[in-house]
Amino acid sequence: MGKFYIDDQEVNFEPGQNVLQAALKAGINAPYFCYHEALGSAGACRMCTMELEPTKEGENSRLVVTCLQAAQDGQRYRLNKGIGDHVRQGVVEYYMTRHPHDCPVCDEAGDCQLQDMTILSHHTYRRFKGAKRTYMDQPMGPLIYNTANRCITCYRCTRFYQDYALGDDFGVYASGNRTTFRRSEEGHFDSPFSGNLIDVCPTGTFTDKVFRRKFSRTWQLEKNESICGHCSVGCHTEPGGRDNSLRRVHPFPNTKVNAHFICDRGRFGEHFSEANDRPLSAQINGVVVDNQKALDHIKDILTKSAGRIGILSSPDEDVSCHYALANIAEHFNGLFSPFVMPQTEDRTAAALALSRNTPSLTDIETADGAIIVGALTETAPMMDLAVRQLIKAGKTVHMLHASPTLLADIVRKQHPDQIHQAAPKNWAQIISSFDASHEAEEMGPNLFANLDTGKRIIILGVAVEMDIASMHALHDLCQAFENKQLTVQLGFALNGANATGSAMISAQYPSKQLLDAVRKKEIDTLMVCGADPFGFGAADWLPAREHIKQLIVFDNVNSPTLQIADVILPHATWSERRGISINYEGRIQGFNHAYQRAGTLTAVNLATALIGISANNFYEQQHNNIETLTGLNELHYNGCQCLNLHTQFEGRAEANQVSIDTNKDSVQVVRLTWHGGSNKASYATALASIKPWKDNIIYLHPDTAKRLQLNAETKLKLGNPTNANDNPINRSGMDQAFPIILNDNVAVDCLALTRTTLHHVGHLVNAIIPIDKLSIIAKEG
Amino acid sequence: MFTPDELTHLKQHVNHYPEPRAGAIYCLYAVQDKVGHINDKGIEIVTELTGLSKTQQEELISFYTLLRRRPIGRNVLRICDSISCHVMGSKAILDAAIKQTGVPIGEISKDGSVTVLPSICLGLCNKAPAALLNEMDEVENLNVHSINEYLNKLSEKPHDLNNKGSGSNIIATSGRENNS
Ligand code: SF4
Ligand code: SF4
Ligand code: FES
Ligand code: FES
Repeated sequence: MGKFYIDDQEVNFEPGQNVLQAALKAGINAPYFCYHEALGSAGACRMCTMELEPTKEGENSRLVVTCLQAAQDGQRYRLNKGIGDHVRQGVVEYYMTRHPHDCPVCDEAGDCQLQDMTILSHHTYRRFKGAKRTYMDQPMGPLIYNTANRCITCYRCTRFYQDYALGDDFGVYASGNRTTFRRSEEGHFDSPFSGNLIDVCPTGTFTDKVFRRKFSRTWQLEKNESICGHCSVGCHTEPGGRDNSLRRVHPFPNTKVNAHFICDRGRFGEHFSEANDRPLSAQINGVVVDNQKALDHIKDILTKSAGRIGILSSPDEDVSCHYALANIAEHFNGLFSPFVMPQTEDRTAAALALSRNTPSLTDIETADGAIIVGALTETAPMMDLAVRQLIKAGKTVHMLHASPTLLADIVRKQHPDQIHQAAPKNWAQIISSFDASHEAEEMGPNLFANLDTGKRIIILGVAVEMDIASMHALHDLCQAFENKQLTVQLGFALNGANATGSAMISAQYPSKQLLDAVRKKEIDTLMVCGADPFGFGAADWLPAREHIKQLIVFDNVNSPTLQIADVILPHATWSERRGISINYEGRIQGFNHAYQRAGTLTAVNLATALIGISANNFYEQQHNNIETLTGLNELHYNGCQCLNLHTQFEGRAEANQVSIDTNKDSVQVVRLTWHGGSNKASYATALASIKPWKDNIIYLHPDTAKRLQLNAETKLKLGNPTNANDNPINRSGMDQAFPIILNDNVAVDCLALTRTTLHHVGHLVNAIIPIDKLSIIAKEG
Repeated sequence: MFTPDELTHLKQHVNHYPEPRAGAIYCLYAVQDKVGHINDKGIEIVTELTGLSKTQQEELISFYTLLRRRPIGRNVLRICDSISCHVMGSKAILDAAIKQTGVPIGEISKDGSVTVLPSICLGLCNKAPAALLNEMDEVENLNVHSINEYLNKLSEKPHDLNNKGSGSNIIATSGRENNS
């Protein structure tokens, strides 16, 4: 640690910091364009120039590009006092010779670093008389809008896209005055992190195309720090809304979770709240009524059916929502569950119980090696971005997967030998063969044999794709590596943003209890919130549909379950309400509404209306509840506290061990998903329009096709699915035969299906189908 | 496009460098020597050799003026437009060339004989305005009259497929494909 001075103001610095970095940390309003905290210095813009005072008699002062200058003790810089100001004015004047004068109609205006720097450097009048360099704008798909003339060639975009996020379909073209940043072809970006171009670009070259369609000047937005509700990472975001609608989502950098960026699911997926078919008013039997009338009606139903009531929430909903609904259920002597499927609940709880020293995103970025099991990009995109930093740093990343995943594509490109493709039913066995304690080749690859003792490895698993046996195998693997004196951190990407909070609550409200009660016809009135039991991927619930006489749905998407509801209530989204979410690390994160959506309700509103508990009392009670449940005193909701996952979920990794099917004559169903394909984000129109997979198609490896004797002329019928209790399930797609598409990135002996296809056929993720149950049909015509 | 031996040679060259971009430039030249320019097929081959995507190769091609993505005429004439030549009237030379060839800069002349390109300083400032034919022959002290004559001569010259010129950058490939 040392000290230097800027315009006589003292600036402290850490070793390794450059002058600009230390100045910004110290809160000095130092100008810059190309420097970025995560992307580092490039020396491309010269905007950070300051004057360095001479240290010795006879020396002259000199101009220094401060982002490339290591901070040194005692140095004195002139920012506003010396000639640096004049130089920076020239720099901006030069950029403005090419930049269009379109601030009045530019989406970036008000949030624009070029505007800020122009003001800061006092450039006012254009003296250049020549023609402006101009480009054609490139159409870049439904999410990002390109205005190429606005570029000032700071290179931040390509440094982010290629160097940081390891994308390869966007880059910098030509040189000198003709330099331009684009893709080789028109169309949307391949990277799940492309939206960050909007933020890293200091000008309006890349702007949010979704925002553009419902634009508002940035200073007129209602904004607040919120938590992303689209996966278990729980990134900090800043939604901006106006006039009852969401306009845009920005990251809200938080050093504990997402230090700079968010993924495209978090940014564009949140626009599910603007889907045309979002339920925004209450309905009774298809007739629109006001909320109060619907609430009275529901109160009436619940009172009459007391004792035969079930309330079903989902891991996509937050802790406050669960508690409020659980209170209502208890009041009417009913059952509650935060999980729809017992299988998901068991896997989530087991994953949490088996996590070890769960790595944060920063832990992942700075590790010495990693093992990834499952489609990580498609489950928790920002974890994937953290792993990409390891790959970039040349660390060894091994990957075991069954369905196509973007992260595997990146690993495969450089190290095909570090990709292990296999059906999930074989994962436990394969993971055990990664055991670091053996020396023999034939037992499988001895991973990380060359890592020195004391180095740190990260293991990440995708819980929803793993059976509990393979989670145990990962846990045992930790021990094996630790015996080799390596440090190991094991974490799981979970299904649902509040999966951890839901699993914490489900100890008291198990989903199996609710489902069994429905099956035994003890429950005939069901209230559903955020879940889709009669829709996508909930095969266990489908046969129970006929037992439900009254279905109340409280939701913010037009799900298949909502479409068959008797009573509908409009639910606020995370950006529109207050809540608490617990992420995969056990981090407790509170959020508050960014903007108001008139006409929507929260679960706490429901509790007030139906059982008369006031909001204040509710939050106080909830606070005490969580403190008791977690053993944390002085509970905060700012994301600084984590649950102790090990004690919190102790004993929940044994339940319902799934037996491993080693039957060679079977195939396994795996989920085919993508980074925009989570439960709620699937309803975001712009994002959903670039979905890469087709529905009602079976994707499989060419070897599997050969083995099953399938080709372009044949279709495949999957046969009757059965649920956990071996009851047959009736689905519309059961008798349907599906065409196939070959894909090398599906593991051998796996059939990869989108969630819509899964819904049609009624099979569960990871279901094992004996080959003799499959039938091959010739294509007609 | 390449023989197995040529591919082995290129692969070895790529493996030489820690950074695939460094090796890619040589491979792109090899494609250009074969085809006359870098075509989509060539880009696919270089992707296989280096792992670089189409975009990443286009970055290189558009950065280096000697790499070209589009077909050219039987000859390439690079007319310098840097400072010395500019002072000595290179603008008029380029304009005359446009008039003479009947097409804008960068396009193939109507008779297929030449593609005229602007160039940065060729190191021939003492003979400005200057130009370079086929990366090899110096053309000096140009004026509007002499450029016209020079271009006329080019249209009369027959096409010599095997003359790669000393401007070729690749040592180990077996000459240009006949279909260029
Ligand atoms: S497009 Fe934006 S980020 Fe990229 S170089 Fe230009 S100004 Fe910088
Ligand atoms: S990684 Fe998950 S939490 Fe973070 S922005 Fe993406 S979807 Fe949201
Ligand atoms: S910020 Fe230092 S050169 Fe751009
Ligand atoms: S400026 Fe034309 S050759 Fe040097």
